Amino acid sequence: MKNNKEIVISNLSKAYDNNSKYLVKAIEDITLQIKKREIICILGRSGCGKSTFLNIIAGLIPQSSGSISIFGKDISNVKSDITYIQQTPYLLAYRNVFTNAALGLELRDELNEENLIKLEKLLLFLGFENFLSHFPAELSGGMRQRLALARTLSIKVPIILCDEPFSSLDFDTRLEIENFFWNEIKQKERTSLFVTHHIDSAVALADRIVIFTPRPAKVSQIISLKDEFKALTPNQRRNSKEFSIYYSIIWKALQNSVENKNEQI
Amino acid sequence: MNKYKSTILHIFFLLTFLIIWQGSSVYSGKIKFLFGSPYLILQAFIAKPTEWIMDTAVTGLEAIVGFILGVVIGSIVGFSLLYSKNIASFSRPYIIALGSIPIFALAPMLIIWFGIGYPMKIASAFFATVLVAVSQAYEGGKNIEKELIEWFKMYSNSKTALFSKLILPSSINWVFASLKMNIGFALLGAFLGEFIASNSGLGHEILSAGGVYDFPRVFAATICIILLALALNALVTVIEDFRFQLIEFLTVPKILRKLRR
Repeated sequence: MKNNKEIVISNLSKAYDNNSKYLVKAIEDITLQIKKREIICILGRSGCGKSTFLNIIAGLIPQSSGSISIFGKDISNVKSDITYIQQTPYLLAYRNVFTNAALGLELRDELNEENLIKLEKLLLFLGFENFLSHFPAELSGGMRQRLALARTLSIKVPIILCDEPFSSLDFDTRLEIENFFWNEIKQKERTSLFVTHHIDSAVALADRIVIFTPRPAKVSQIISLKDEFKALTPNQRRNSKEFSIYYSIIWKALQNSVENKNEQI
Repeated sequence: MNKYKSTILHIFFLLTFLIIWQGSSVYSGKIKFLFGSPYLILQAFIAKPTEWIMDTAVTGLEAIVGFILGVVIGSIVGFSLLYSKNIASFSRPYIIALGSIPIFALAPMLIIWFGIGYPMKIASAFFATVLVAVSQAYEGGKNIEKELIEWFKMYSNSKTALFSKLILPSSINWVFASLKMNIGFALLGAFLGEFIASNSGLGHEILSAGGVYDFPRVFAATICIILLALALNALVTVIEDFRFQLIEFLTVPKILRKLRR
């Protein structure tokens, strides 16, 4: 019996304790269910707690209350099913592009000819043709981020968390890589939680878009895209008429999330 | 072109300096006694070339052996400190205190502990380098980004992998960066050891020549030390340049090294 709900997040809250003097609420009462093969894009103001949210799901920091279960199991038991692309690409300075990219496979004991050939193809696609034996210090910011992406996508893991992974790419490359990323998720039956601050990225990639309120982060609105639109690839979506409609819907929703917040104060 | 110019300028400066030195020593007997002269130094070299080479080799070997022992043992201690926060914070003031001891202050004990032979000079070079190595390995390990360690832990629970693939190579970078500093300390340690008690080596040469006011011999020994230091520095630079390859050889699985190189 297979449960369709891959990630179930219920009543998740996180508060930071500043020397017990006062509590800073980062996340308040988030409930969200994510299905298999779904890409959920999270939009919200910078500093609203999006990264904290992903860090909790990745198991890097503990939540204050609420629960997260993945495949019906508590997150502490299923760490190996999650992979995470952080905002800053942390690469190993003493390893070259190829060995850096293979690190995920290496740590999971999945190094074999087949995986490495795939990895090399992936690296070539991401534009590392002449850079395979370069060290991270010799790469540009965008290349480092692409390398971190390759390192993550090379691993066969069902859940991919992304924290603005394409933020330092130029527009053209971003479109190309978004398309690639989308295909990767859909073809390989993966699931992704994708934090971004580009509305257009969200519309191009997402199945559902979750909008967070400014700190503390709450779910302000969840926008489900139409099935016909969801079936399109990011490039097709960008060329369709509905793209700009969704864009403006989300733009308004983002503004609302801030305004509602102000009224509450 | 610029490089040529600066080389020519260097040679020109050196020659002028030597000519003035030689000229003034011919002109004044006092200067000749106090500072020797380039010609007398050359004579001191020619008088016993094999002995100079032997002395330089002795001092060099003492420094290198002490340096290797100091760096290896110091790094092992530094890495082990990473695994216990309590021991690390407890031992911190002691390490700082021990590190501030001038190696010369240990001289009387060194003779009693290690005798007057080579082990004493090696020990002296060892003590001069070991604490720097401890703190470099420890600081290097502590300086690894928290996020990177967390990232590692997402993929592997193995502590050996974390150490051999992240902590060791990251801090070895630090250790390597400090080698140049440490090779100088090792040379100083070996030299001081020879000053305390010895029957060979450049320290011995300087001590015995100084005792009989044979300053040209002192200068000759000083030139040998300079050359030795430059050679050791060059050696360390070569090792440092290959540190990534070395780390790769030690920590990257064979299958990855085979492909693409």
